[in-house]
Amino acid sequence: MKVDTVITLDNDINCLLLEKAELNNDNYFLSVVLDESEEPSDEYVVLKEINEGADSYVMRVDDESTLVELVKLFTKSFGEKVQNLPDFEDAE
Amino acid sequence: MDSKNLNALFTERGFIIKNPSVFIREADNVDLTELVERLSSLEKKINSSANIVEFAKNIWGKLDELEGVINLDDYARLSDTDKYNAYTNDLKTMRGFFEKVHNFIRAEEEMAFHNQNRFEITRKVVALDHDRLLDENGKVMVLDSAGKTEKALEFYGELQKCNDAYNKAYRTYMEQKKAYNDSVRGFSLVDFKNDLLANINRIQDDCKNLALSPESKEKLQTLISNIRNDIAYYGLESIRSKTEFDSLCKRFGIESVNSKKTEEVKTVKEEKNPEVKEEVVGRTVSEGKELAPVTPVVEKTSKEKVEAVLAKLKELNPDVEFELAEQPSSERFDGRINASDFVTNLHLPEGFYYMSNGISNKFSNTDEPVVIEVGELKKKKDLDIPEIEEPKKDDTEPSIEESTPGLIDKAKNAINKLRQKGRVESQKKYKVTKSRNALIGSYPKSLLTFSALGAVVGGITMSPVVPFAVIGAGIGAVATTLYRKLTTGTDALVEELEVNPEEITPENAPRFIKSFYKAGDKLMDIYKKRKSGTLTAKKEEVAPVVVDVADKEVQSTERAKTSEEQIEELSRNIERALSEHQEVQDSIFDDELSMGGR
Repeated sequence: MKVDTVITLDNDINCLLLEKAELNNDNYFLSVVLDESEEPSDEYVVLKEINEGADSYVMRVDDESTLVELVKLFTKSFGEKVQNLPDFEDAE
Repeated sequence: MDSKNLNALFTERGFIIKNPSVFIREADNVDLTELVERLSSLEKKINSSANIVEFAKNIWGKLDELEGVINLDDYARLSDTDKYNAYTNDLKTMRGFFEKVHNFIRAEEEMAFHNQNRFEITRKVVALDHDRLLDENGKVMVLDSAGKTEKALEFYGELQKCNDAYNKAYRTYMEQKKAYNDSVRGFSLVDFKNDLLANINRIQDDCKNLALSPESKEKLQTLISNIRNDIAYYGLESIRSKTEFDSLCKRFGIESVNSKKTEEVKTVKEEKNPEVKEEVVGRTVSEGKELAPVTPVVEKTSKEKVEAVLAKLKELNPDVEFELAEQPSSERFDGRINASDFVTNLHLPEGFYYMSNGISNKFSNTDEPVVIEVGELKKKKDLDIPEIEEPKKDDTEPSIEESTPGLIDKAKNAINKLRQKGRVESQKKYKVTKSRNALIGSYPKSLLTFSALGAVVGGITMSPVVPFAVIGAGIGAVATTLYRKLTTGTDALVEELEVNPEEITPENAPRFIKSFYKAGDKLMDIYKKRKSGTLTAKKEEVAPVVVDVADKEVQSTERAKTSEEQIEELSRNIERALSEHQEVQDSIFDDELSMGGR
């Protein structure tokens, strides 16, 4: 799994992966759930990637201490990306 | 229109030129834009036939009526048992045709109901936040801090129940939707109509064999006749559209990439039952004759359709304020209407249903399908409440927020946390069935990521383990950098982000986190304005304002410097926090080892 992809879960829910972080050898993704029209909803989740053989699974992370650690990691990598963003008029 | 634009139009609407020589020959002196519009419109009508929701509702209602007439007739009980059973069996069979769609509709209604309940509670929580909670008589409740706590906890419990009910309803809805979709796979409209007509004919025969009063017989005759007509007329529009669509495609050598979808509805020619064919064709279908040169019917423009719906909405919702927005946020909408109430609270015109961010009637049998985005005005009205309320506050009395620090935040965060308990449930492992690349611009993605971070932080700020200062500084630094870049050269201002990083202390960090999160919406607004061109960068002025330009450069350098400093500060803070965390972990580990050793 990688950022900037839309994954479809087995309950037909689509999630757009926004940021990735690695913590204790596990991959985590900051994601937004897409609604039925494929538009971002107001539901944001942190997903843990679980690989079992050829299949990929995800599980929502709710443990607060893990979330705190992940927020720091997400914020750091996101901060770097924002820093490298071109000024708006150059970008659009 | 030049060839580049035409190509874009064809691609956008999903049409390809299959036979170029035919197309070039026929396209001479034809308005190709109109042709594509006409084909799109026909395609919409063809596909709308598979949506039998309105049709099912109608027939189901008439079957209920029919059953009511017989149940209320005293003579019916005197009928021969076998004949009465034959009638009930055929009625059951008839309902069986609509069972899946009926279950689907019911599940959708139930989900909408629970969703509305959630909105109601959330609305009350917002009202509680701003001391505008109303009692049963519609008067503003005056609550002290204890009363407010009690209410907050009450709403917390209620929302939890509503969310559970909604999640359950959502699961049922998805199951029913799947069952319904499976049932319409390979759906043949004509076969379906034939079966319905055969069955209603049997019900008519059954009714003739029952002992009924003359009044009931007359009512039944009318009802059955109406049902038969409804069945016969159902889908005619799509059959006619399909004929015209095929004819135009053939003439111009065009093919639709969505043709699989459109072929699901069989044409009249494929009908097996001559009796039905005669009835259907005899009324309106023009036997699939090739159409003469394109003379597209003049249809209402999107704006006219939206205005017509707006007028109906105003009529149905006299207490709600509406305004017609200039343009929707996405091209998939025909227009945008702003309302002062939640979309799910609106009474909708017949045939319309709620979407996540708007309304549509595309599943009804209307000739004018329209998808309308609804929003904005509601947000302004609901979320700007504190600015209106502020002047009324008594300066001598501390606000609830001051007298009970953190209470509102806690209640809000608890609600936020519950709201997150949505469609991706906790402690549940989901298999990833598909993965595809997303095309998203750097700014929209950054704004989305910022909102996501805000939401996640908002959900954990009740936790005692949160190092507020670190997170606050981190998000603050990112937010201000994003803000500077987004507003470069403009005079757009977001007060929440005009913050000195030194002000973010552990004590006031939660407040900053909240305001940064709120700033996300404002950043998104700025982005939209810049994107639409309503907010543009100022042109640099020449000679007379040399000093101003110099000042701006200094400010700009300072801004960049501040952002860099913030990022550096953030990195230092994160490293410090990680190191502290590691030390704590190590000490716990050592303690455990030593305890284990004992």
